[in-house]
Amino acid sequence: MHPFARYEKQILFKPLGQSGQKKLLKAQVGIVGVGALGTGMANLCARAGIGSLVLIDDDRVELTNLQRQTLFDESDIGAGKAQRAAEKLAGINSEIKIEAFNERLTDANFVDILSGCDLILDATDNFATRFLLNSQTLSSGQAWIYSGVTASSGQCMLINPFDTACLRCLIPEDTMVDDFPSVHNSGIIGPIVTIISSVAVSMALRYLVENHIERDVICFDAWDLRCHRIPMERTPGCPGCRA
Amino acid sequence: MSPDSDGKNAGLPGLPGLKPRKGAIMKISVEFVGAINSGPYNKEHEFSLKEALTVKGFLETLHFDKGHINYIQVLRNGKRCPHSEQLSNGDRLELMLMVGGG
Repeated sequence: MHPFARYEKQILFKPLGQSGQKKLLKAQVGIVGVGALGTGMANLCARAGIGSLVLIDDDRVELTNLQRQTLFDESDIGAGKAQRAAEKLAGINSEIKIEAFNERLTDANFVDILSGCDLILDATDNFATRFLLNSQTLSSGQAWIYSGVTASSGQCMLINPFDTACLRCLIPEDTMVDDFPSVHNSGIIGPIVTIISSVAVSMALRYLVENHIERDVICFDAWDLRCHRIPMERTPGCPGCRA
Repeated sequence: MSPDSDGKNAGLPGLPGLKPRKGAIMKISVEFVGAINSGPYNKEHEFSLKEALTVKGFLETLHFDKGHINYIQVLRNGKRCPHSEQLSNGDRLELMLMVGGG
């Protein structure tokens, strides 16, 4: 069988082609958080043939996750998310390398776990970890993609340190409050998770294949079925990237 | 000055008793995008302002928790602007809250 047989239809897509597939197979992508967005992203990345995936999450599967965390089923309840997702992904694509870390991302383990990644996908459920990612990638120079979902809305933005706006350009001060909209107080519907994880992986594929830097925040609402593109530029005086 | 877009005189939040048309010096239109709570307003709403305000000053007159305001991205006439920018008559704002769930 041809080594690229499973990617035949993807290779037929001209902007990707065989040369793009080779780049994907050589790439390493980190996925921080293996919940709703993370399982969707990991599923698409594994099927697309991204050659090496690094999954990190310290959480365990719960019944209430199954509505939107698409790699898991009832038999997974209680299992560590990262490890169980890796096992599911290995059954989808056994030709790629998948590493799973059932731990929380910290400043102390960032380099050990993610330093080899060509791109990092944010699938976390909190801004504290995103600010950690922002700070660490400003040091390492690695590109990452912010994604967030709540209720029926979600957003995605590619952050290429010292080139695009960074997260601190957008949110200079972290003033998080308890009632900030989240899945715990505003709920969430499954379709927005699928849409935003797909948008993030589209950005990732194009970045890895063409080194394309998407400079707009992409916002989508899965209830109103409305999409916004918001152009983002670095903010002069940003406390993160010092634009 | 024209009435608010929903036909009601919602007035300027935080300034009870203000008659929105009388004495207002500018009007701006606002779209609440995505997950951001539009509170008592329509998703697209026109506001009459009695005084010149910065974006931040305007946001503080709305119903938002102060802790949320830093997470609101503002497009002013299609271009992202810092909260320190001064509003002008006829501005169109799009307000988007950065969301954190994953």
